[in-house]
Order: sequence, then structure tokens, then C-alpha cells
Amino acid sequence: MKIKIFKRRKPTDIEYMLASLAKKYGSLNSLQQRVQISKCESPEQMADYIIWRNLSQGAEFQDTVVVRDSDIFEVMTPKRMELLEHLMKNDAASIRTLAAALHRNYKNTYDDLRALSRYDLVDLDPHGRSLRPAASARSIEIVLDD
Amino acid sequence: MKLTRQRTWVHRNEMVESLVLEDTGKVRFFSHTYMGKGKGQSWIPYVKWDNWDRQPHVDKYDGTGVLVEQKPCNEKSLEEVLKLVQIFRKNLLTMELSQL
Repeated sequence: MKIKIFKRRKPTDIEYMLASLAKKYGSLNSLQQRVQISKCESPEQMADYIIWRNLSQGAEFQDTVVVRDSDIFEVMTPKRMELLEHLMKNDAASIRTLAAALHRNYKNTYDDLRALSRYDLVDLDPHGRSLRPAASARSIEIVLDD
Repeated sequence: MKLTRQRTWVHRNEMVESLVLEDTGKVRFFSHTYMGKGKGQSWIPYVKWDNWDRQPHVDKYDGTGVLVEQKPCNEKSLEEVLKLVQIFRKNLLTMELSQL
């Protein structure tokens, strides 16, 4: 059995990814030079280079997470699914505003978001001094005959 | 052009991150990295199969993220890599991977 999570990638997400890469490496050329010099020493830099080069040229991007560990069902509790559904339909500026919208306390909301982010079901992007939660999954598929 | 990234959790704190670039159905670039979570919660590569510079090869890391060996090998699909990782897991670090 495996659980396949299809990530939601809106044009604004791609823009955000490209901006994050620019902030991390400066320019695509400088990253290209780093990767060419270091060859395969850093898989992360190589992956970042391929992603940056191709997404900036308009390549279609499909992003999935596959989990073969049944522990994921411990993460997907009804309360957390309710939180995920809320994030699919609404934007949240911060964890605090999300907690207020769901009439829940901050700590439980934070813990639930951390648990969901472990399997890439939500993104927690730094925004100033706080974290901005966003649903990152478009659909979740359970494949039984694998 | 289509870029596909798939992260497959193979065990608690271990995953294979795959990046495949296709152009009109042909694979132009692939990279499949088996990695584990280190003490600082960062991902540490153990073994990577890729065709950077159009040369399919396998890279072996020392368990702390330092590249220690690079050998040519046949092109590997994600399915083949997942099969190897699921059977051998961390023993891959001591195996002759270019022959697999």
C-alpha cells in the first residue's frame, strides 16, 4: 500500500520558489558555476539548479510525495483533516489567525501543522517573524494494490 | 518540458528524492537520491544515481554527506532505485553499486 500526495502548485507558488532560490544563491549563473565546479558533491544544489533553470523557462512542474509508511494515518486525524480543509479554502496570514478562525488554541494548531508538514501536506513559509501556513496538497490517493 | 519531482518515504526518516526532466517523452535528466535525516533535521545524501553531464553514474556519500566515490553505471529508473533501496537500505553504502 502507498499513499500518494499530489502537491498543489499554483503560479504564485512557482514564483515564490524562484524568489527563494534567488535569495539563496544570488543568480542562476552563480549557482550553475557552483554546480559545475563541485560536480555531484551537493545533490541539493544540483536539484535546485535543475528546478530553477527549467521552471524559469516555463517547464510544467509535477510535485508528488509518496508515503509507504502506514504511520501517516496517525497524522491524518479528523481534527487535522478539518484544519487542512480550512486551509484549502481559505488563506491564513499566520498560525495565530488560523487558530482564531478555527476557535482552537495556538499550541494545538501549531502542533497539528508541524505534524502535517512532516508529510508535506502543509507548507509553513517564514513571513516576517511568523510562519504562514498553506495547504500544499491538491489530492491524496491511497493505492492498495502495490 | 516536464519536470517531475517525487519524494518517496521509504522508512521513517529516510526518503528517495527523484527529479526527472522530460522533453517530448524522452528523459533528458534524472537524479534519484537516497537520503536520511541527520541529527540537525537536515537531509544527508547516502547514494545518488544521476546523468549529470549526460553520463549516467552513481555517487556514494560517507554517511555525513561527503562525496567519497563516483562510478559510471547504467541509467536507473525511479522504480529500479526504489527496489534497490527497499531491499538493501543502508547496506548500499558498502556495496559495489556500479554493478547493480
